[in-house]
Amino acid sequence: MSRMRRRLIRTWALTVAAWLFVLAVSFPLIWMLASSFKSPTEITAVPPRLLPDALYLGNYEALFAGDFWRWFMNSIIVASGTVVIVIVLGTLGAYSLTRFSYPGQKATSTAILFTYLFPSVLMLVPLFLIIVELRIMNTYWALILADMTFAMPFSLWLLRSYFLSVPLQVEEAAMVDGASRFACFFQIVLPQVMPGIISTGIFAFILAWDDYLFASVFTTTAEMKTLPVGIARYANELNAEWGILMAASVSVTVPVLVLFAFLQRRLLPDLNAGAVKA
Amino acid sequence: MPAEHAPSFGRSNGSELRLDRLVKRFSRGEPAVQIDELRIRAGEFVTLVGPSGCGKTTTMRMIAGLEDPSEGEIYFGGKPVVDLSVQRRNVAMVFQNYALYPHMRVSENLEYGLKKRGVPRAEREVRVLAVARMLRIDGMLDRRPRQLSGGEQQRVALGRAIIRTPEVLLLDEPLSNLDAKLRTFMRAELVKLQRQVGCTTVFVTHDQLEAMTMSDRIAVMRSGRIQQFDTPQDIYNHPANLFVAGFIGSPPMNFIAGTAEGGGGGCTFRAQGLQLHVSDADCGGRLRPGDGRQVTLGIRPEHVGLDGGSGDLAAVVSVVELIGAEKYVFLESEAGELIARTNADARLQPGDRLFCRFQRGKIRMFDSTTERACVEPLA
Ligand SMILES: Nc1ncnc2c1ncn2[C@@H]1O[C@H](COP(=O)(O)OP(=O)(O)OP(=O)(O)O)[C@@H](O)[C@H]1O
Ligand SMILES: [Mg+2]
Repeated sequence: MSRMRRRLIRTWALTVAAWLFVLAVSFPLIWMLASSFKSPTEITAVPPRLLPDALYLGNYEALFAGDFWRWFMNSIIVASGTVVIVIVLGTLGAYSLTRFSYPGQKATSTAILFTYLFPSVLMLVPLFLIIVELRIMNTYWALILADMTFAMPFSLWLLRSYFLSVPLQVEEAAMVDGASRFACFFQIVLPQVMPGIISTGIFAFILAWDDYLFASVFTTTAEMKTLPVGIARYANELNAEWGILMAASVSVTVPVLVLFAFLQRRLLPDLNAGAVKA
Repeated sequence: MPAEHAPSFGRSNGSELRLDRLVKRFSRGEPAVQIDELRIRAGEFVTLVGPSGCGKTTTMRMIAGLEDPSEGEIYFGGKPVVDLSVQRRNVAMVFQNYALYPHMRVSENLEYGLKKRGVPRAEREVRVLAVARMLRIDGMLDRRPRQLSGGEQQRVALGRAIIRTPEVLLLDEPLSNLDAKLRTFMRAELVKLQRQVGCTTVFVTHDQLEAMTMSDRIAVMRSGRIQQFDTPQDIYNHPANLFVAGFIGSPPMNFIAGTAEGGGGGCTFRAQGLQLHVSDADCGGRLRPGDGRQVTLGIRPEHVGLDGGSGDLAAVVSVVELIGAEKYVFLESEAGELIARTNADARLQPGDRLFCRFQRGKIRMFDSTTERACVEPLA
């Protein structure tokens, strides 16, 4: 067998294996999507079938007729607010951690990583007390504060490693060129850590978007519910409206997928290459 | 604008650079840099050389304003600048690893400094083009740094520095990342460029060939202190101390430790296997008198003549290296090991017994305890 042919077969085998793997991983998602278009009777049919007989839109109609858009907006506001605050505080914090030297700087970096190891449930009570004290119970601020607290340690750590990859000398060159520290930060450093900022933003967004625990505790009224809390009411101990639940799940997942698809292109080009000659 | 005309984008009037009792301490103990005085004339090309860790980069960073001196003052054309921030000093610096802005195109890299200084767009464009032509990077203005070769990146870094026609231009080993051929080429280019732009230039290098060929004057540093500041020729011919004598020149100067009797007009140098009368004329200056003191005789390899019959010092050839047009002959003698430089067709074999003859007028004498030259150059 010629080498060319062997290589071709290898490529094909690998491709098939990769696709099988993708299929296995995405099966629950496919099931979710298919089920959201099934009528209640078909969903519980035995034996189960993957594809619906007819495209049934009733689940979506029921979902959108309810409070869905209200919850959706709440989730968007909370997640976006979290992203903005995490990015602003995170970049400033990471810049400080990597560029200035002050007593306890190393300890701070390590302590930050440690706080990430605490499960969110542990922070529930302290956060609750703080939120009550600040009188922001049942507001967006309460959720943003809670999500931010949870997202911040990892974000700082992530951004820190991106900032570390920007050579100090590039900044010094800019300062010799006449750039102030602020100009340096915005014009020289930020563009180079952009992939890191986008990654951090996605991380914080998903964290806030998926949050059930904080949203269920820190909101008390129906109109403050976020998507995860809102759609949970379609499944209670008495019965589960599987069709609507699946439709809701699809509606929650799609915005995140769109966000990813949109930002992925910006994540790929590596702007850092070639800053300094190795 | 035809490319063959040297495009002018402005000329710096370069100002005198003076370091006055400049000290930098990073921690307690010996300072990293301690310079009593260094006065560099306007428009001069001065090279700092010295072994690794001797404080060259630290000195440059203090001049640029990236590092605050612990003590002392720096003057640009008479005005003190230590209290001026890095942004407000009119200096430019080329870093060893170039430190280009990776996210900007070459043209943006070049014009960034002008932009920060409020130069209007039209003038910026003219200057970018002029500098790019001068450095022959005008074909790659739209590329990003990572799309350039090392030599091209180096020229962009240089362009970014000179485009502002700074008073003082600092170059920290800018050629060390280039291959040997490009280095030789850039050496000449850099000198030509500096003459054209006219800014006072401080250049750091490890390579003494670069130092010798490019500079108006060389400052040799060791452990943060300047050992000698002089023209390349004077540094080579009249090293102020043993360190400079050994550091400048390749292969290095031969040293023979011994004693000197007499002085003032001439002395008798004695070492193991060697007795030599050294007159003032023999050592190219006026010997300081000193009876029976410990001295070190220095003689450069090219001033050691080899003779089969007679000479100053008997020696045995141990190794012969052919370096293109010449040969380095490693010798063993009672007075220690020596290196001689001869022409390539000299017929020599390891094991040959012969005599070294030290060229009169080229012998240098150093005090072994103070390590200083004990010869005053004749005016
Ligand atoms: N930021 C710093 N903190 C502490 N010590 C430093 C710092 N920068 C430099 N030093 C010390 O100061 C001395 C001089 O360093 P410098 O970088 O100026 O040497 P150099 O002559 O440029 O060496 P090289 O030829 O290797 O570049 C060294 O001993 C170095 O360890
Ligand atoms: Mg250095």
